[in-house]
Amino acid sequence: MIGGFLQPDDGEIIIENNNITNIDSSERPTATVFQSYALFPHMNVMENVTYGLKVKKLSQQDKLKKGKKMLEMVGLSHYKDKKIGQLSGGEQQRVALARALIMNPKVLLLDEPLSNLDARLRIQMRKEVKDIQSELGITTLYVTHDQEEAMGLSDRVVVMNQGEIKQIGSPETIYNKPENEFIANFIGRINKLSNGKDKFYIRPEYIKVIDADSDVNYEGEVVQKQYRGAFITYFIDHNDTLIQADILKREDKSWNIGEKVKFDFYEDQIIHLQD
Amino acid sequence: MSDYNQKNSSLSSALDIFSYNFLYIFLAISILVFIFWPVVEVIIESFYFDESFSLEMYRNLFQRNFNLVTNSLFVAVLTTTLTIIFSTFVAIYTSFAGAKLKRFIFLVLLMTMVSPPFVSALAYIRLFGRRGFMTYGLFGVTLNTYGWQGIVAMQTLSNISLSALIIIGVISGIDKSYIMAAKDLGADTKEIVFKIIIPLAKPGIIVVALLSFVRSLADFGTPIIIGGGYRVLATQIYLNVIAYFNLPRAAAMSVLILIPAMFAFFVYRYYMENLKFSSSGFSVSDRFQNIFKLSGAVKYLITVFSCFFLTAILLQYFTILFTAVTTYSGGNLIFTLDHLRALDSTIMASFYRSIRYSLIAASAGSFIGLLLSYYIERSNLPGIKSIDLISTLPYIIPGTFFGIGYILAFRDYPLRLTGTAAIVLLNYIYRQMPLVIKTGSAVLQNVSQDLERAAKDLGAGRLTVIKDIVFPSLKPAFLVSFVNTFAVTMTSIGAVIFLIYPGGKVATVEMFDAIENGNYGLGAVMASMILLFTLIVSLTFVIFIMPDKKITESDKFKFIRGIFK
Repeated sequence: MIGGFLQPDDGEIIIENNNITNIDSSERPTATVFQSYALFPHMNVMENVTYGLKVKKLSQQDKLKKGKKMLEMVGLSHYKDKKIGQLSGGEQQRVALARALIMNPKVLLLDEPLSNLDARLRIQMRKEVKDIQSELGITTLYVTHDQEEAMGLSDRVVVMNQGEIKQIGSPETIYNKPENEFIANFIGRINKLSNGKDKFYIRPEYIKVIDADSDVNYEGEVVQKQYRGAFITYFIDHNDTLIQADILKREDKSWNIGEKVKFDFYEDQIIHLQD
Repeated sequence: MSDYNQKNSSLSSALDIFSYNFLYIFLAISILVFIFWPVVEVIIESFYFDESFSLEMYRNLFQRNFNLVTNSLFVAVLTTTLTIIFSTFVAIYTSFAGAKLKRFIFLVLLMTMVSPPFVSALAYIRLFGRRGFMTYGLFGVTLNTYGWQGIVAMQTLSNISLSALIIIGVISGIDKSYIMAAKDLGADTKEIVFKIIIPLAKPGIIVVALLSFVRSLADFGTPIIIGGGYRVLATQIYLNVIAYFNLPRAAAMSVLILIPAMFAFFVYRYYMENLKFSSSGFSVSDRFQNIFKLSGAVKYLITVFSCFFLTAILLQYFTILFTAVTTYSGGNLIFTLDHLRALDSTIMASFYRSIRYSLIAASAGSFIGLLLSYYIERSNLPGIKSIDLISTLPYIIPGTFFGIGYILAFRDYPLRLTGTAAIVLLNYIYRQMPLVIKTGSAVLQNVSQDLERAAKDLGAGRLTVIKDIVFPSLKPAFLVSFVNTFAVTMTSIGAVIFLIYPGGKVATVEMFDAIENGNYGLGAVMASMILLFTLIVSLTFVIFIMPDKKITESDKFKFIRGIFK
């Protein structure tokens, strides 16, 4: 919609005080990196990157100069004459980014740009995208289903569910102070507990597991134990509710499946929500 | 962005939208004028009797010529049944054959697809006719083999190739794991063929049935040449136009054929929309062979049918070549070059004219059709759905119907085209429209729309997007459509036989005339020329001009499976 490919039913889209709602996508000050990259298969890397300039009727010289600079920035200078089909997924991703950035857009739209890459490359590209973005200081709208990606890259996160905005805020706020049940459940993992009439939420990393003979109120039985590398996740059956607790391996004590345990929380991390 | 710039760019944007819409209107009008109007004209004409509106034509048809209708239906039903049985077996046989055998069968099928019409009929006469190589030559008998049996046999023979190719396409689209699963669960060949493959290929078989039925109803050439006294609607349509000049009567008969054809068309459309051809192509089915081999009684059944078909086809071509270089002299068969010498300058002129027409029709038709396919696939402009539907009409309406439509629509003001080369060319171009559009749509459906969005996003206007993005994407479709239209135009006869002007004949019409006049030798020479030339051009195109790796085997063969006469 912001790129101009869909008509909004309602409302207005305003960029720098210009209402662009009814402006054709070819005239909008936005540039998009598509999920599929949408690189033109019949053009080489340089032709792809400079296509927008060609349409603008820039001189050949200016085009090549800007194109070279842009390819340098994404680290693909030596690939300028390659065909798109000869590039790897990560390289195509960078070409797509260069092609959008060369337009010097007011808003850069990234539509799940990393979802077609494998996990390792995704983390690397995530860093590169962030670096380039902060270097150029372009307002960027980044659509993703990957929470880690959203948390790691954003200054401001908008969480949507079925076309409705559920919360807007910094990654920290969204994670630590969810405004509603949807956000609490959707972002990260969370435990829902009740203290008599009072319901509250607590993240797994803020649960302390304690020996069964200590005197705290919450008790349960370890039913499963998942080794996660830096920590262990214990699944504890507490009055037929499954509680997840992430315990750092550094802590000297560990528990076995079937063992009765008690658990407690970091009080200041308890999340209360109004219904 | 300054104010001035904004105004300037919105002006160019408006101009862009205007040209984009104008192009669409132009295309839409051309479809209405050159497809819809002729069809409507035929229907209107059929209600004219003594210069006034009446149902007389139809009453007349049903009362006095009821046997024409029943004859047509009888032949069509028999032809369809036989075509289904043969083409299904041939398709299964080919699908599970080894790579070499498969290539050979494809070549045979390809050859029959680019054969001019009546080749079968001509071969039939030479083999089983009064002076047939088989009947008279071998056994010394003169049999009267003219009649419905010959018509059914020859129509079936010429229908099988296209039908088998369609079913092969469907079979190669079947998920191989179904067959593996069936095998894993202990199914034998019989089970797999009859309970897995045939049911899954059913949409293809239904399409084949409808096409064969309609093609049989519309075929006038075969019955005229080998029907003897057996008359069907299609032959009478032809005679009413060519010999009796009774256009209203011909129109009424054509409408009669159109009714089942239209019914078939809608069923066909329904199935074609839900029919997925394998995108991975025929090469994948080589692996098919490794997971499943025919065996047992079913294998023999399928092999016998397929070999019978292949023998018949090869015999047919052999007969044509043989006829081209032999003659009877004093009761003896001798080799001669007389028929080749009979190719005078008039006939050669017709042959060159055919080539010229085919090249023009192929370029213009592909260009117009592919542009249309872009609008159909990507835009939601008003009326586009109807244009899509109308442009598919020539796929199923009989060639003669379309020809009569052109006579009626363009005989007078405002578009008087009778007796020009233009009417012949336009007919060729718009007759192939459905195929071109389908090819374009198939390619566009595999091209992400994001490409066009990306170009727009980078500032390209609508027309620039078409030029820079859509046309390059459609290149494979253009090549396929070009070969297709070229081959069909070289070999078809149905509609143009009514439209050509004296001195403006095309090769297939010369061939038809020669056969009709009993000049079989010359007919065979013409048939061989048309066949060889078209085959060579098509193969050259496939092998040398489409070496692009992005064009898969299946794309290459799309053009054969799509050729309709």
